[in-house]
Amino acid sequence: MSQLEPWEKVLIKMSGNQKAFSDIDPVHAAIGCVNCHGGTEPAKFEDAHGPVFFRDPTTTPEEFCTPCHEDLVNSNMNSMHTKAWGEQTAIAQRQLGGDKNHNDFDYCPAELTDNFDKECASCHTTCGQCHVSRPNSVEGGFVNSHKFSKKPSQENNCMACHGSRIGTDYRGELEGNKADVHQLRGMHCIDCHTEDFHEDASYAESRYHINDLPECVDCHTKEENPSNTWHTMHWPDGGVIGELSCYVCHSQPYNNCNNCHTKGEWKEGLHDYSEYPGFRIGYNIDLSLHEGKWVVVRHIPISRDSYEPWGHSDLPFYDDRPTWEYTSPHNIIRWTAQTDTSGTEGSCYQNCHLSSSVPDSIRLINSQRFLWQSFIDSSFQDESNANSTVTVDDKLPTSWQE
Amino acid sequence: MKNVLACFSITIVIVFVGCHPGDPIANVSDPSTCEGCHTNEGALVKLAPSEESGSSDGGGGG
Repeated sequence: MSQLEPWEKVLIKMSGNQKAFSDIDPVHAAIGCVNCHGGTEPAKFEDAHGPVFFRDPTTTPEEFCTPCHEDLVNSNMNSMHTKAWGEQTAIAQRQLGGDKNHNDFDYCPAELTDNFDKECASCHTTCGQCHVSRPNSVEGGFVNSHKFSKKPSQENNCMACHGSRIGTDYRGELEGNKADVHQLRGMHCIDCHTEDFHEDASYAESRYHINDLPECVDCHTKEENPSNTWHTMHWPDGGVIGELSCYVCHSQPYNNCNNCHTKGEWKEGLHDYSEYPGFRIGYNIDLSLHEGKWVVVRHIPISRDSYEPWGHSDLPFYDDRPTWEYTSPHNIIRWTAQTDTSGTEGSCYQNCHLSSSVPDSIRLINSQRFLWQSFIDSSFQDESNANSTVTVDDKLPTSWQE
Repeated sequence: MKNVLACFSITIVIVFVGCHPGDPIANVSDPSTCEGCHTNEGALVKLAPSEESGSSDGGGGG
């Protein structure tokens, strides 16, 4: 995402008949700039932003937003976007043990909890970073001349934080990919994501535990086309033999990440950080959370020394949680490399099954689509134990390998 | 004639209200005020010069 010039970030641009900020946002204009931002008015430039100035007053919403939005402020303090409960769970499990969750996060060493608050929590996020400005992750800037927008901008707000994976996928920017069919139909994030973003989500140990998350079946049911045998064979709730997540058939390759971006060192090559496209079918280790025995998995941004820049060099329970995790790529199309049967006389298994007529030659066909332990052992030697639950070895039906 | 005048007057009022852009704030043109400065592109360019920087899209979710 291109960054705005410093002056652009703070420009309130009039258009049409607008003569004042009150024409852009009359409700918030009535409060007056200094009553939220502090500073001095009138003043020379040198004195205008002192003696006390709040660049983003919504870092303390209880002070500035509560008078009008008390319920939202109270619940949002524990929302997923504010607290990043899932990240807290991941850290707690790798530091304290796989049976822990976000409720145990505070028992982690101070270098983890303190730096999480300073760094991760600084992006997860203030009211203003969704409703007024671009978020801190892209260094801010008014989205719409400081107008408070009830509906955040997909490009400037949602994708500013969810860009390198979801945005890249949704727009079809990975080489060889097409844009997500929902993007081509003009759908925006919140057309599907109707969950309550401001709710108190302290009950949820990850974003996938949130109430009312969108599901494919909200719009697409097996019954809408019962003659589609691919669906009846593979539907995630069981089908005949399939139990595949929708993503297994309808995702294109998606971005994977190695390592994290602690201390702001979020560049290719630093601390082995890298992004790379891939597609791997893995075993679903939580059927109560995700449908389909077989799901797509992605390498998430973690390594054993991810928090070394925070002064925490090792995670004692690193092996308790996979580094290849369930994922929900936002690059859905009907005809993917898995479903396009061109040249196969209509046999889609040629693109996905491991079948082979040659004895002892399983994995010769399409094995690159699956997450094998041998792949982990060879490419991610330090992560063999962490991923043994999610690799497909010894879990695939034998009929798939015949 | 009275009806014509009445209609004319009402039309004028509607047009005035409909096109009135709001209450202009006197301090918009006053550079010593927050609004006067932050609505003045030329002033902001001088006061907040360009800098070399860039940012990556975040990777959350998915």
